[in-house]
Amino acid sequence: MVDDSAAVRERLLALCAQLPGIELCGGAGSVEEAAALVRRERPDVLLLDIHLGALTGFDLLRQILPERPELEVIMITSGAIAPYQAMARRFGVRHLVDKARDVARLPGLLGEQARARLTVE
Amino acid sequence: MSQLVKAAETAAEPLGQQYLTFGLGPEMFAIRILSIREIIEYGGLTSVPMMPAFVRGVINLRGSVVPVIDLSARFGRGESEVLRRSCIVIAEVERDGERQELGVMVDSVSEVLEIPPRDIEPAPAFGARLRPEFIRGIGKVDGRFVIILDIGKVLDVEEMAALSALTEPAE
Repeated sequence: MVDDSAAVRERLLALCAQLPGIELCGGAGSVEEAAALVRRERPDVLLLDIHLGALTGFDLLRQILPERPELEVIMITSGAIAPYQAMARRFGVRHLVDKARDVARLPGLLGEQARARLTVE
Repeated sequence: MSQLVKAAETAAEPLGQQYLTFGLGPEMFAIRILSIREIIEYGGLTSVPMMPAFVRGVINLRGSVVPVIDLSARFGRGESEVLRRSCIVIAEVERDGERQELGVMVDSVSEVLEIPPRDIEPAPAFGARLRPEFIRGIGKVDGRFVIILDIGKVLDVEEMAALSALTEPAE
């Protein structure tokens, strides 16, 4: 869970903690912290904010996707998501969620990921 | 998968080169998405009396009052009309070490894309119909030119305040 706002991070981590089949790897507030966390914890799914202070979620993906091409990424931002869609697709990101208005989509998306992994294992 | 390989191939690119492109009048502009917080539909503005023409009004963004700048008016090209695809781009600028959110009214928002430094040329010294300090460079995107703005300069709060003092009616 990567977001530069500690309040948003806490809120989303609390939301994820209630979902069955999901184990939280932790939260990070910057690209640097997030890259270290992904390398250490090796999560299956990354919830990733687009605007991360001095850098962007895309900058993080550029660093970690070459090492973790199978990582499933759900990008989150506030407001309109359409302008980001083409860029997200270039990085193989299938899901973009408006965290201000559409946070209710997250449990479903995360549940899908959890179920997909259970089936594989 | 080929998309991911593409991302890997460009891993050596400098970071933070993503730009939001948008239309204003006949031209395409771009700002680095590092300075952008979010993009919202145009609406919900409260006009504020005695403000210069380039301050369109204020909006309530999750409880904070955010001034909205009419970019066309700020460029001295007259007030923008509200169009079907008009948007407000919420940008964050720094003033005296403090971050401030400002809205920027644009005709339409296109997309976020990457413009590597090699595709950016310095701003022309003349002929751009825009104050040269507002321009960071001219980017080439699919054979089109986009004017990359220095949003810190465009939204320089002190300069805008000085301008508004000039336009205040004399007593």
